[in-house]
Amino acid sequence: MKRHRNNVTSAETVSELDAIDATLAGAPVPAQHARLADLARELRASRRAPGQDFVATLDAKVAQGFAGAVAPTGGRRARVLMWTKPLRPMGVSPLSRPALAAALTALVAVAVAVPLAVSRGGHHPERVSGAAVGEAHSGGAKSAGPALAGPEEPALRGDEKAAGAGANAAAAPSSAAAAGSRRVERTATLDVGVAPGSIESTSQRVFTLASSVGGYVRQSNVSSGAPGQSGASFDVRIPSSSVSRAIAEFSQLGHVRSENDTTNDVTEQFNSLRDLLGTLQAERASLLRRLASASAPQQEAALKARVQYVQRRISQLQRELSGLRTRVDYTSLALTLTAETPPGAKQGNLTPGGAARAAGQILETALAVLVIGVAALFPLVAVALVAWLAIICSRRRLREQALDGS
Amino acid sequence: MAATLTLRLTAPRPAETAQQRLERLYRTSRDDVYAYVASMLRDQTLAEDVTALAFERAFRRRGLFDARRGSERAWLFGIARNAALDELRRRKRSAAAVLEQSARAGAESARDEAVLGRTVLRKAMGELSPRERELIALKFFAGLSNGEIARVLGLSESNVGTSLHRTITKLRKACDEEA
Repeated sequence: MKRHRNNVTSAETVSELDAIDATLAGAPVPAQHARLADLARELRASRRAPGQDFVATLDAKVAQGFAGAVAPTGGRRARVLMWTKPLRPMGVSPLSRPALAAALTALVAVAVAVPLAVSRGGHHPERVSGAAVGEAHSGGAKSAGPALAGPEEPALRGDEKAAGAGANAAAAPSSAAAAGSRRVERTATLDVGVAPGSIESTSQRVFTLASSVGGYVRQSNVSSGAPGQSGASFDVRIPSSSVSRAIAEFSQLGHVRSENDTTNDVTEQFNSLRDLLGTLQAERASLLRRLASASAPQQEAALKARVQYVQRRISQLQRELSGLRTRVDYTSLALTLTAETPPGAKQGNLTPGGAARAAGQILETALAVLVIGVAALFPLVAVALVAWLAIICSRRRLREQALDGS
Repeated sequence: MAATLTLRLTAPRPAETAQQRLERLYRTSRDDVYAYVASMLRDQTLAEDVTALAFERAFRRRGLFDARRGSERAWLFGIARNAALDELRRRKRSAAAVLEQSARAGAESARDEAVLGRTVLRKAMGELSPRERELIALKFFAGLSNGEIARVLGLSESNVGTSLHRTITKLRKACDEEA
C-alpha cells in the first residue's frame, strides 16, 4: 500500500498500520501485532451483511440499469428515492449543459441584437403634411364662401378669357370652387428611392401616372449613367382635388424617403387682386366715356394716356389672377427619384476588397453583439456561480454537521 | 546480447464500457457499501434504501467519473457517503437508541464467546466519535485503502493514517476496559 510517511508518523504507527493492511489482505503479521490483527479481523467480521431479499432486488435493478428507478417495495425506500426526484430535473445531463449554456447565450444575444437592429434599420420616411391644414381651410370656408365670391365672379372669368391668359386654367377643374371660395395654394415634395437600374423606366411611369390623374409634368430632369449619379426630378402639376391619390400612386414607385406637403391660403390675396381689377375696369369704362365726350386736344391726350396706363394695369392684374388661380387649381408636386442601393448589396460594385470590408463589418457587428451578450450575461453567471458555490459549501457543512450529530 | 522476443499470445482485453465497468464495481463493492452505510445509519432498512440510492446515483452519473481524480471505489463511496449523510440530516436519527438495541441484543446471547467479543467490540465502537466510527467503517467494513479513504473524506493520506492509528488505539483501549 502506498502511504505518505511524513515525519509526524512514527515508526511504530507505520508498523501497526502495515500490520492492519496485512491482516485485511490475509497476509501473516508479526507476533508483536497479533492482538491488533485479532482486532482487525474481529472488526472485519462484525460488519453487517445485506439481506438476501435486498440483494436480489438490487441485483435485478442493476441488471436493468436502474431503468425507471422507483423502489418497488414502497415504504421508506420509495420515499428516499422519491426524495431525489425533484433533483433530477436540475441534474441536467452533462452533455446537454454546454448546449443549454449556448442556447441561453444566444437568447441574450438575440434579445440585445434585435432592439439594436430595429433602432438602426428602422427607416421612417420624413413626412411633413399640411393637408389637414388645407382641408381645414377649405372646409371652414364654406359658410363664408358665397359672400366673398360675389356676383362679379362670372364677369371676371369672362375678362380673363378675353385677355387670352391661362388656357390651362380654363380647362382645369376648380377645386377652390368645389370647396367653397377659399383659395388654397398647395405644394408638395416627394422623394422616392428606386433601384439605380430602373430610373428611366420609373420616369416613364411618372408621366403616365401624372396623365392618369389629370395632371401634367411641367418640367423633368432625368440623369442616368454612373452609379451614384443617376436620378430624376419632376415638377408635376396635379389637380388639387387629386393630390392625395396622386401622391399615393407616386409612392408606389419605390421606397418613400421623404414627403412634404404644405398649404397656403391665398384667399385674401385673390380677393384683393379681384377688387383692384374691378376698380380698374370701372375706371377704364369711365375714362372711355369721358374720352368719347372730350373736345379739347389736351384733355383727349391726357385721357388716352390714362386709359393706356389703366389697360396695362388691368392686363397685369389679369395675368396675376390667372397665375394664382392656376396655382390654386393645380398643386405643384416636386417629385424626386433617387437611386437607392439596397443595403448590403451594392450592384455592380462587388469587388474582393469590398466583399472583405463587408465581411469585416459583419464580423465586427457579430463581435459587438457577442461582447454585449457576454456583458449582459456576466452578472447573471457571476451571481449563479456564487449561489452555486454557496449551496455546495452549505450542503457540505450541513452534511458534516449531520455526521457529528449522529 | 541476446535479444528476447516476447510474443503476446493472448488477445488484448476489449475495453469495458462505462456500464460494464459500473456493473463490475457493483459486484465487487455491493456488500462493502452496504456495510459502510449500515454502520453510519445503524438501521437496516435505511441502509438498504441508501445503498440502492447510492448505486442508482452512480449509474446515473457514471459519465462524470474521472479516473485521474481517484479510484472507482473511492468515487462510489463518496456518493454513498453523501447519500448517507443526507439521510442522516433528513431523519435526524440518533445513534443512542440503536446502540441500546445492540447492547440488549448482545446481552441476550452473551454466553457465546464470539458473540460476547463482538458485543464488547460494539460497545467500544459506541464510545468512538461519529468521525472515528466512520473511519473504522471505511477501513474495516468497506475495505478501502488509506488513499481511498483520504479521497472519500477529502483529507490527506498521511492524515488518514494518523487518525486511523489513533482511533484504533482508542478502540483497543475501550475494548480492554469493556472486557
